[in-house]
Amino acid sequence: MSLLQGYSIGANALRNLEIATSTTAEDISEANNPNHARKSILFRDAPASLEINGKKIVQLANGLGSLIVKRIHDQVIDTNLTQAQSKQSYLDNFTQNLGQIESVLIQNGSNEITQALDQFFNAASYLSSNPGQYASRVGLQNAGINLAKTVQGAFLQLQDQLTTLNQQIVLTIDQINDYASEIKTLNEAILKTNATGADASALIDQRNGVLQDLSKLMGFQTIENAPDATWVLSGQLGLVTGTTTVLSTSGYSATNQTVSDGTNNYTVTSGKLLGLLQSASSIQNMQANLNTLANHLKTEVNTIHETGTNSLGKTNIQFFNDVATGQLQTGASDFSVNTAIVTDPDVIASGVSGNPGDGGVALSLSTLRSQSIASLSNSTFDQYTRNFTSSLGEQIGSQKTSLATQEAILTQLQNQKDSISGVSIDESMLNLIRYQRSLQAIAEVLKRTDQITDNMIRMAST
Amino acid sequence: MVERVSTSELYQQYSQGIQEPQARYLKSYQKLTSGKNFTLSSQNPTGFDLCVNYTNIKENLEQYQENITYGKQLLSVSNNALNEVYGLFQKAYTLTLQGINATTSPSGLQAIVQEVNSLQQRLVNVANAQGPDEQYLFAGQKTSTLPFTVSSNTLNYNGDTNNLSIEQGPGALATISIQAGTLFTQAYQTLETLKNDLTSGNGLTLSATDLKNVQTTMQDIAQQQAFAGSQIQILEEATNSNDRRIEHLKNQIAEIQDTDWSKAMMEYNEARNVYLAALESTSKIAQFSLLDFLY
Repeated sequence: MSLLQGYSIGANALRNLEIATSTTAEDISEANNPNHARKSILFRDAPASLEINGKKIVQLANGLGSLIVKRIHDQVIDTNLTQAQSKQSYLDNFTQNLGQIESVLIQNGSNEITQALDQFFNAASYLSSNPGQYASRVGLQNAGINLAKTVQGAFLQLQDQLTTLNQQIVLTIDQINDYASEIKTLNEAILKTNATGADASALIDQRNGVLQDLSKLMGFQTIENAPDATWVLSGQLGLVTGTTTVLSTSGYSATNQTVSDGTNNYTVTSGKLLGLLQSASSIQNMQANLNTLANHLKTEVNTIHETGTNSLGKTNIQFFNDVATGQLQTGASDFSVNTAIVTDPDVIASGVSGNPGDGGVALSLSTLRSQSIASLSNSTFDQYTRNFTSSLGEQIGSQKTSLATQEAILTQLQNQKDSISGVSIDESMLNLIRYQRSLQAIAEVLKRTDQITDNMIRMAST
Repeated sequence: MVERVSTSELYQQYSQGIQEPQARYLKSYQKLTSGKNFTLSSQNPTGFDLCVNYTNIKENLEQYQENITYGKQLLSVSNNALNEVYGLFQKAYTLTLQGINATTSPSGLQAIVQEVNSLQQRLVNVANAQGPDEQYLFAGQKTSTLPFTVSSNTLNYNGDTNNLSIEQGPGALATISIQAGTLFTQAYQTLETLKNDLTSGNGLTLSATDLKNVQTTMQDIAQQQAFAGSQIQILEEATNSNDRRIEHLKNQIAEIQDTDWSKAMMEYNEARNVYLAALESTSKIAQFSLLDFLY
């Protein structure tokens, strides 16, 4: 081996250690980037060379030849993490929205609607016992207004929530479309970069980040279609393939939990989008319950009240505003007390005869509280209201338990991923120290080689 | 093989180590300050539903109590009026005996007639007595109509024969009025006949008929008084029963919903200590890094 070979070995080593140092420095700088996968550095010997030494042919090592920089990640864990993230996101969103629905029905620790129902029936009971008293009529008037306002108010608050949810669904679909477009762009960029032989790790990390963000919005599976070209599919929906499918912002269905590309419908299986769609469906169901409650109150209360004659001698008076018989009732959205009663409590009929001491109609209203209504699944008004409220409470409790479990799974998968792919600053610092020492040593070798060469030249010239 | 721990995983563990005790601390604090084990259905669906149900029943019972109080008041006032009428007829009885007495002079008889006349007027006044809300007590359900008017020496009844009722329990009615239409018209007639017989000085009729009629009227009044008394007694029993149930429901609601203070305080102290320990230990551990030891 010639001395000049020493320079070559030293130069190779310096170059490779420089790459190793800068790679490690990059890892440290990305320590807080959750999408960054750390790099492992494998040093490789340069190919040995043959030399004739006297009559022998010997193999000579040529030191450090190259290094392989490898992105460390586990595809299985990454896939599981994506799915877990999607499910957690769905549960989180759905649970929160259900909580908001609950807050409409339950305030200050009490069920507002059952309380209003109770007050109404109690006011009727009081009127039946004091039918001649103006104050007892005012009591029923106020209780009726309160009941109508409470049910209508709940309906309208839910309507506001539904409007907000629909806006969020549109925004989420837009975001999904944006992410899909971004993934396609990154796929193309990664392919081009790999074709030139350059390192595409940063682009891959970036794409993983977008995939993670997309998984929070919508569940999907990925297919490595070509080297480093990731296809994204959700059931039958090919979100990112050779092209992207653009989802329509108006073609979704909360009832069926589907989205559309304008031609076909696709089921949403997970993610925030599923949470939003199911929340919208839950609100619609709750509104249907309130409509049913309001319509039955109108029917039952009016049927009784219309038999009464008030102190003004009038009969056949509705207590709650309602449509004519045979027409489709309007539900909770416009649930209100008859304007005539709102204006004058004396319009309220307490008895059939119209006599001031007759409280028969008011008594019938009072006993309505304990009557089972056939079309309310044979429940009383109170039971019906409590049923749909407590069902909601049970559902939220169950979702919270599932969410807690899912968060634990997600944390564990995240820890597993970090354990494999995450940067350890301490570990990276140790590597830097190692490369630093190697660099110092190589520098010393070059210095000595240079001195020896110089000495030999001097010797030859004398 | 030693498990590899990345830097982000390390800080994630630190963060979780603080967040979990913090959440438990906050939960125990809320329980202590609100005084309630839960305020939402989702926190305890079964308990919440029970509390709503018990609260509704309790408030219904309280309404029935209010109705009963009103009913007792009305019956009491009616009973007092009957008592007064009974007193009138006790006086009428005495006057009849005086009229029967052969030693009573014509002018004496005239004076008795004047007294009976006065009794009649007082009877009409009592028959038209009003309750606390200015409703006529003895008019049936026509409580704003003057129930009794005098015409041609006859007391006429202008009310009806329907009862006033209150709801004392779920679908359970109690009558709180006295049917006095026939009672008072006949009572007035008894006094009118007595007056006529006193005027004519018919001692035989006075002793054979009028005295008996006065006694019969007194019995009829006593019967109505007994009815009023029994109704009041029924309402008293209902009140006591409702009171017991209300108290029981209050206790049941408190048992389910209200915080057990001593237990809540213990949980709070424990959660607080754990949280402080987590903060202290995390602050110490999080400081350590290889970077601190490199020169």
